[in-house]
Amino acid sequence: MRKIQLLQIVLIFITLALTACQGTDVLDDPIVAPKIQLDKNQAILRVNEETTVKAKYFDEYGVEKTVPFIWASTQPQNVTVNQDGKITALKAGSAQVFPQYQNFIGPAVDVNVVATDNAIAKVIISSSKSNLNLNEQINLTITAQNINGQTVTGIKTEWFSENASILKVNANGEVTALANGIAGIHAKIDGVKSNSIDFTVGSNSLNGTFVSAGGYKAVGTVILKNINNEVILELGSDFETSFALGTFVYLANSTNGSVVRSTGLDLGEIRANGAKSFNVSMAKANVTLTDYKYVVILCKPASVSFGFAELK
Amino acid sequence: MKTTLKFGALLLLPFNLFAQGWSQGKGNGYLKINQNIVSSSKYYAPNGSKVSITTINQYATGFYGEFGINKNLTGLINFPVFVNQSLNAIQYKQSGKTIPGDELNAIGDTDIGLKFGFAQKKSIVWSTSLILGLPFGKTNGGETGILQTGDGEFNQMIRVDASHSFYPKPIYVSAYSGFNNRTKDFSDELRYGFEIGFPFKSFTPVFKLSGIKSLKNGSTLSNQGNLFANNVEFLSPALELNYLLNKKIGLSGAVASALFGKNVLSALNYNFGIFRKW
Repeated sequence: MRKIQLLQIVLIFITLALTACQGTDVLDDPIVAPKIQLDKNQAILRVNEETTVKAKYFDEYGVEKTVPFIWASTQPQNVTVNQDGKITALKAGSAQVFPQYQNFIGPAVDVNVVATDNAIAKVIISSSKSNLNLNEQINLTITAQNINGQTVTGIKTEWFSENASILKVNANGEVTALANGIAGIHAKIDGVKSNSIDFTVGSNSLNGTFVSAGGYKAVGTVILKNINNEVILELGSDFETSFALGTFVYLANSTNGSVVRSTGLDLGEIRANGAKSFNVSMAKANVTLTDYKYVVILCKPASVSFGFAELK
Repeated sequence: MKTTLKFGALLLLPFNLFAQGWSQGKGNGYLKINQNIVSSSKYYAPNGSKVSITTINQYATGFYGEFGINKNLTGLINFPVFVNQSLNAIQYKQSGKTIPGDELNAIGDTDIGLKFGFAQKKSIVWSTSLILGLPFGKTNGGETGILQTGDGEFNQMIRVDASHSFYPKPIYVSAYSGFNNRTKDFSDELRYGFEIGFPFKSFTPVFKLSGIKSLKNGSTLSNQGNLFANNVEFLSPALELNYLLNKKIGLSGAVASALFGKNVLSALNYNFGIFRKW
């Protein structure tokens, strides 16, 4: 009888050993700014034509939710929009149509309504680069198209700076960088608005100095810079960090290890101290210098931050 | 040298102290099969602050034995025959996104040693032990490479134990202190502990307090790694309850925590087992 009891106890041990397995940590998604996303940002219509814009709402966890949007037009005499996002062109001219959910106003759709097929329907400006040094000048190009995509000429061309203290633009589309910062330029031909180009003035790079976290080590300097329209992250030759297997460099907007792991941009693993560079544009297309606030050294498997550098 | 992650280091130790100043005596012995469980989502960083981590779990099944070789000499062994260490998967509640976990099953690092008892007839009995830490465990395990059931280094510990019995009162006290010489650039350690036990007829509750102090003479924080396994420090109280089913066989259960720690998990650790004396 006693032997049977002992056998039972041993079997319990074996069962416990065999059933030991990994579990799951259930976490809230990181908090982000809610946003509304549209499937188009421009519509060109003839009078009486219709098009429908679809909007998606992403909540504070970045999760898409079905919500009732309220749609509005800035020029209802030209363009109307119903509560399903259906746009109707009433007469020639332009308007902006945008959705709203609670306090969140979505991006606008620029709607141009043309009276004839040869009227200007779309204006496009372009630039050879988007980063300017202080006092640097650059000429922008501008073209106009009709509703069929054919190039046409207009009568009156106007240029606009969206922040005149940072950028100045003259009547010929020559932009001058006046102060450090980010500002946009757009144009109009015969009242039809173009796309907008954002320019970063002055700093073509952001610098940071690592601060150790939690008793681990991360010291040295880091530079995030634009080189030939690619964003490159360079760890300095003075860079030193603690290492674990799975030590990664991240760009992130938080220094919390779990948040960095879930929402940061993983640039790759490092196994040695000293200078090293990462092509951020390869990791994420269209990334800009200001998309992320921190460079974080993370033990990725355990989500432990060894240190971070704030980019300034 | 590779980096190792010894999140499970903390609370494997308080339960098997190779403890007390008494020798087993020739032909006598003690053997326990035990299961050790720790699971934690908090970690004591090197500066002693607690940080959130992906949950680490460790289940270890092993043997602990003491065998009387002669009147004064006792052989010691602590052999984790099966260690399961895992890193939880992560699932995000709102988006449903998941990050896979990781797991390692392997044998653990094993301690063997010899304890020499002296002054065994005195009011305070003494013993000194040499314990060798054999790196049988696996390092750099799992898909992530950070799981391990051993630290990969061969260490040698010398310790001194002193005990006193208040017989006929059912009380005894023991204390020990030791020096753990670690290789492969791990920092050496001072280890210390105290316990008080109440050996009633078949029931023996024991309160233990044990700690590790790193001498910080290893290359911690170097690019050679050892980050999580080196410079471990803690002060850990433990409560152990032993119950004799008969004169030879008994059950044991224990729980331990940490009053403070560095480079160790912050979690309760549970241990239970069945033992036989002869």
